[in-house]
Amino acid sequence: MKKYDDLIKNSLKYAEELGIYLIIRIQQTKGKYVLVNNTKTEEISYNEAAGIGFHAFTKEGGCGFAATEIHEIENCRRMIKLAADIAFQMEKREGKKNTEVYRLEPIKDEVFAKVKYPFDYYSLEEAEKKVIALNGEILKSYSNIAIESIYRQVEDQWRIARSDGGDVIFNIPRTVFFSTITAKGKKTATTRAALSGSDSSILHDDDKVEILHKRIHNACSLAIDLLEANMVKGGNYKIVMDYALAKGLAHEAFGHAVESDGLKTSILGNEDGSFKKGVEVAMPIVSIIDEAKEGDYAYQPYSANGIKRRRVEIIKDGVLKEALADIFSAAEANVEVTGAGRLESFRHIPIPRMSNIRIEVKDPIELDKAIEDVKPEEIYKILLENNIAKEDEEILYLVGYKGGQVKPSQGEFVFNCSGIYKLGKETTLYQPAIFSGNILSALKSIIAAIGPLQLDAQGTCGKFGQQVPSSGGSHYFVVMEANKDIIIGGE
Amino acid sequence: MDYIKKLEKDLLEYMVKDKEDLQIKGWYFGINSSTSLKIGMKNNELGGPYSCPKAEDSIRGKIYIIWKDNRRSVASLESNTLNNIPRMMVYWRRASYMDEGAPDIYVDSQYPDVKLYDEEVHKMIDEDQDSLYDYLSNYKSQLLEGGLRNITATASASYFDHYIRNSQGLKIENRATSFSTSLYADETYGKSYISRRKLMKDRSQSFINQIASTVLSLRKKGTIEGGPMKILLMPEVTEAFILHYLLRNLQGSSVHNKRSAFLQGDFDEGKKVMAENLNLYLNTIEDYNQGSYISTYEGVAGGEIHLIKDGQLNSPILDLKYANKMNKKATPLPAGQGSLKFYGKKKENYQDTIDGMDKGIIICNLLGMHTQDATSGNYSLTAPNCMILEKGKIVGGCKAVISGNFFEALKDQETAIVELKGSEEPMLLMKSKITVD
Repeated sequence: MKKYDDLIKNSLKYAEELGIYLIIRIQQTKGKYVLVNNTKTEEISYNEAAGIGFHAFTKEGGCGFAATEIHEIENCRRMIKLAADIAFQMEKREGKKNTEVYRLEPIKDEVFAKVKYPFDYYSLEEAEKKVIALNGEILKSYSNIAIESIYRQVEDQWRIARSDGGDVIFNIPRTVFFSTITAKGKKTATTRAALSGSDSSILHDDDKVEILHKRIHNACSLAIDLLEANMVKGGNYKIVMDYALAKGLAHEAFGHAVESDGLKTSILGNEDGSFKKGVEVAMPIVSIIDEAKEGDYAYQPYSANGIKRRRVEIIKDGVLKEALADIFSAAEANVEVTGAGRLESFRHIPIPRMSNIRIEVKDPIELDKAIEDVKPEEIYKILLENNIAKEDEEILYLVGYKGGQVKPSQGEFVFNCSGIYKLGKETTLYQPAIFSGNILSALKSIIAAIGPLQLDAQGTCGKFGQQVPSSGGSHYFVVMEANKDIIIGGE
Repeated sequence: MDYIKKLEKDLLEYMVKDKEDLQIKGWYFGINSSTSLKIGMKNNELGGPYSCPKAEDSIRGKIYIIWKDNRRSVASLESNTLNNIPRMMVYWRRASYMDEGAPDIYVDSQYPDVKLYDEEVHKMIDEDQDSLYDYLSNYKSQLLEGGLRNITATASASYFDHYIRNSQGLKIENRATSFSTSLYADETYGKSYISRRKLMKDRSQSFINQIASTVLSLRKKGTIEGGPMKILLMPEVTEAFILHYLLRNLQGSSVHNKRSAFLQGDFDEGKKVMAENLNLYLNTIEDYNQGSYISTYEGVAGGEIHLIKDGQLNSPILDLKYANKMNKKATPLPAGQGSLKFYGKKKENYQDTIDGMDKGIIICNLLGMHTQDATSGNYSLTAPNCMILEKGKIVGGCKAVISGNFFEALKDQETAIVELKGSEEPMLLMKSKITVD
């Protein structure tokens, strides 16, 4: 990224001449992709891309943005002028003003994520062989399934330079192996399994491949069993959910609702747009933390505005403590800037987002084995042994996160699972059903957790048309009391 | 365009000169060179750091190469790709793969003449930006005057130069425009519009009126008892169901690889999957439709086809590879909003439909569609904003969780297409299970 020194110097000088404050966001990205369908290679690709976004601010706070892929200085000057013209035009049109960037302290830093295998350590050909082998090994174990396997490895490099002299360079490496399993009988059912990380060790290291194997086998068995499963009766239940669904709960119910750009309309914001700090929203045993973790799929050390991203305790001991805030809306929300601004690409404007979000529960019940090896019957036994459930209680165990959505203004959120087990003397599998909850009461139902923290639930988070990597988790299992505001949507 | 000329020249060089391992025998590429302007309003305020006007120019596309040994490569193209073609050729070669049944380079016998360009939209970017801002100020003034409180909206205009070239001599060049706008009121209900042409005043007015009346109807909260009942899906909710449950299962790659609810034989025998009144039609040559085009990058001409006709499976969506594998002719591919038409030979009138509903709900929007298993047809979704219907009257708003099987609903003879004035897309009336708080 050092090759952009002259371009940055020239651009910032030009911005000064135009009388604007400028944030320059330079992105270079490269990616490998392998797609295999039932042992046959469907597509392999290697791609590179690069571009620059120019975010301009007038002294009065008018804002404009322009993006280009062409790095030549003359073209960049043209785009800076365009962004500046828009910003001045916004002043004239009485658009919303924002002068917060003028309060920033300049930081200069370079952060390069440590990975075991650099991006080019294994070739695409080797990746293809591994994906085909894994896909084929699973496929031959079952007679009525189809598997699509995707391996994706990306390395983003960013340089964020600002008019105040701030200049940070960082990279974001990430990988994911993703399988979609379709079982066919008289009916059809589809499930998924994934393993993510920061490098190709997910495909090449034995310990990780073993986890991947177990996860895909579990997803295959679930898809086959779902062919005979009925829909559960809709209503309110005591619930056990796995760590990936608990990530969904934290992400949808709280993460989005505390992003500082939306607090004006969020149920966790006051009418003036300030954050409802200090409100009790969960049981005192519950905390929610967002933290960029090195080696994680959603790692990001600096924000897209060049501000260090820090650990945020959204809920501490049941009480709302901190918001996920960026420089543009932290002051309005009356919260500290936490460096939460992220973006999909140089073409986009950063908005506050999560990275790795987790639910932590005090004094979890110990469980000393891999989560992939824990069966529903064992969970039921643990619940009874620890007096968390009674023998005649109706308890649903939800497995496998399939994504979620939230409407922070109305306090409604949903997420979906891959399957539902009704726990009891006999375990019965049901079709997946939506978990529909209310932000202000959902976490008040968490009564216990089982197992250590597992934080690799991978996903992609969409907000205002921008997709960014997300991840998180919780203890292996989280237990929730039945709650009238939490509906399992069934028959 | 210099970019196209250079890329074509470089590729021809790799065909004719001895390049050993890098010798190629066929190729195609498609390029979109675009310029766009997007403006936004958030919480009644124009612009701001998150919604400030955005200008962008870009070159994006796709290249497909057939190497001398029949291995294949596919890659993205952007402005900087041509800076070092020899280096990229090495990378693309390393990323090549054997693809059983992959097609040869293709040219169709005829290409359609489709109108895709509107000068008025083009002018919005360079000369007449005021008209783009007028949309947002009109939304705001009308809706705030109408008693709504919070407006979030966008408007954008783009123009594109499309280029498709291949080693069989195919040369397609055309100019296109795109206009889109979205409007969302009181964080409750909204709609969007996208077309090659701008949103005309009368449509814009009905867009605003529909949003205003829906949000106001939802304000008064009501209650409804759960259970099975008729639900009426708003046009955008109907579209979401169709795209998720039908389009995904109609993709040729999914059908062939047994990853769809439908098997190849189901198409051969015309399996009944909907009531005979219902049809799903793909049209990529309608003038000014956002989903229209002249040709796919592969060289398959835009066109029209029934995917489901009179309730029976007719054709999957087939690119050249899966057309080869399934021994069928390639079909047009859906590209963007508006190319899929879900229709009924018999249509119900909106007013008559709600007049005839003793008890039911109108679903205005949904949470969680992307989380549903499209292959099973099962749905379990939260509808945070529903209008309660009692004896033909809207009596208030409520939240509901709806569940059932969409494939079964489509086969039900009581499922009906309902026309809504001012909307090109239809509503859908069907039975569903409802769970409420």
